[in-house]
Amino acid sequence: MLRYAAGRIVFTVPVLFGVSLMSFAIIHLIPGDIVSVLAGPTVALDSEAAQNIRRALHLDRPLPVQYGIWLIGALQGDFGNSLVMGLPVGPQIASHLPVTLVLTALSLIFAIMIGLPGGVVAATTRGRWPDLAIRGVALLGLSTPPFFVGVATVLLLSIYLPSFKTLGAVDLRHDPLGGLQTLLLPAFVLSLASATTIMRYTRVAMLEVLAEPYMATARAKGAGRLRVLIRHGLRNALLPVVTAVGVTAAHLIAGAVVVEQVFGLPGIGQLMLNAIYHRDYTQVQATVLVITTLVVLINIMIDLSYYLLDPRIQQHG
Amino acid sequence: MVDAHPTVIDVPDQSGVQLNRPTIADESDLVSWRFRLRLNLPLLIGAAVVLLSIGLALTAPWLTSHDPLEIADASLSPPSSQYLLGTDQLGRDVLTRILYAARSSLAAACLSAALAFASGTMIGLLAGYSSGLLDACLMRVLDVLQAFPALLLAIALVAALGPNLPNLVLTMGLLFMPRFARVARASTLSVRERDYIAAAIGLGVSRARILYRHVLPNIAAPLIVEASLTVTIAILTEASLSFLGLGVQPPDPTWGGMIAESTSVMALAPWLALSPGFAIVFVVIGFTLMGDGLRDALDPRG
Repeated sequence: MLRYAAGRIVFTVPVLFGVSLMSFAIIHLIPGDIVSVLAGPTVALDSEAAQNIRRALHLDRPLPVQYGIWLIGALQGDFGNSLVMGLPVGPQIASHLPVTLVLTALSLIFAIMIGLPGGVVAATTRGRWPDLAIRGVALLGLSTPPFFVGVATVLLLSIYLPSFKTLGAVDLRHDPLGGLQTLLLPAFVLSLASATTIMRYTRVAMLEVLAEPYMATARAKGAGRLRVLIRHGLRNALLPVVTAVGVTAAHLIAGAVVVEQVFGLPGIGQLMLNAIYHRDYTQVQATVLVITTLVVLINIMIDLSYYLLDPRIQQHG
Repeated sequence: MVDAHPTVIDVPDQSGVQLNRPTIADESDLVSWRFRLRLNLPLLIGAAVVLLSIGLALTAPWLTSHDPLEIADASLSPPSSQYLLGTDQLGRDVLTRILYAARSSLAAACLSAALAFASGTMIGLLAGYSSGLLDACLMRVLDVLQAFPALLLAIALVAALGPNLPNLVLTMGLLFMPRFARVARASTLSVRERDYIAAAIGLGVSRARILYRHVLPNIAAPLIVEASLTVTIAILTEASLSFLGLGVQPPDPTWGGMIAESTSVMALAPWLALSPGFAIVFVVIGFTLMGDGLRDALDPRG
């Protein structure tokens, strides 16, 4: 187990390095001199003020040095100061992260709760109306952007259920229950696309398992239908499903950026979009790096969970 | 069919023609999957929806008597015979704007998928055929690109480059390139072990020509399926970006932008949010069905 885990973690180090390099490079893609973007067109590029900005951002140093300074800081949780507010970026991210994490976790739970049974039912009723209905709904779920589901839900609720609070402040620290309640609807909206993905993977995996001879054996020895389906069927079909969960976890975090915008939630997505609208590039850099690192870590955990789920990897691995 | 595409047996035994044998064998492979394409219902419906959408987008100026930026006398008027889907808060015809938005959305999606297809296939072919160090380096770059959640990187890149159509195409092309590169590489790895590749090498065919004439036609089927599915993701990505204000800029219409603008007057004019949303769903379902249908039609196991 340790060797397998160590191998996986060593493998992600170059990926994380590349991710940090790209997050850093994004700021340098901006056409023109960044100082003129920051200080406005009225400030001459060679004036004292412009030089001060350059020095404060280490822009007077060569690019590799700039990257080194930024990376060493980032590894210690210091992402520099916000260009707009002047405050350190790190604590800002730390205060916005919980909402996004809770939102993502909630929608992952919803997605599994919808997708897993949906996939099993579709597989067991293959070709008949439950299967066709579930697949039809899935096609719809896959083709509808989450922000449209969000807008439409808010719209419908405001017409038919005006007392339902769809938009509201979330303060997880002082009012965790109220915060969770507010997050339920956005999490549900966010979960639909992922539920579809999980459902599709579950259905295909279950169809393969259902054709296995050991399923007939289990039935023949007198095990109940449901028990065979879950103990013998679902357990063996779980591996591709775990892959789907991993894939959707990454989608969920990115999708959260948009859904937070629809519901006005103070998560990391809102932080990033505000930073983009205000051209606060250190904030954008840091947010992209933090979210992507999170996704990479989730993927490592998924890989490690294969090991726990599938004895075959333990033998070979 | 036999006359148009002679098989190896039909080739008269002349020394000059012998050299062409591997090429002919490749062509018959190409032809066989082209003719093996069995039509199925999802494919037909999907293709019909896609053609209809593209047709409507292309003929938009002739279909509607309004201009997408033209401001009528009545703002927020509900659907009527003059304004089939009503007007928005500035009094612009919603149907006209949806039709014109289809142009930028489909252009961004199709062009970026084409860019990703071309660059990804080239990289995948090179990586799969050369293997070794070049392969390892290219694959690590793809790992890094795919480590980013696609939408997140799209937001950051478009924001940095500036939100307009060419930058959208460039960004999404880069984002979707790894998908094609991986498919192309995996297929190339299996195709390059075939006898006809060894034969081509033995005949002294140049490497570029082998890749283009002998490998590419034989890995085309999965890439075409991938292209159709990539267009759906590109449309959804473009819609999300324009919803966030990072797509084609106002006053030019975009589906996502129209939905974003409608949220402030949602209670007064629900049709504003719903119709562009349904336009997105319609087009995406079309491309999804077409992709699924193509996969079934081209699947050699089927």
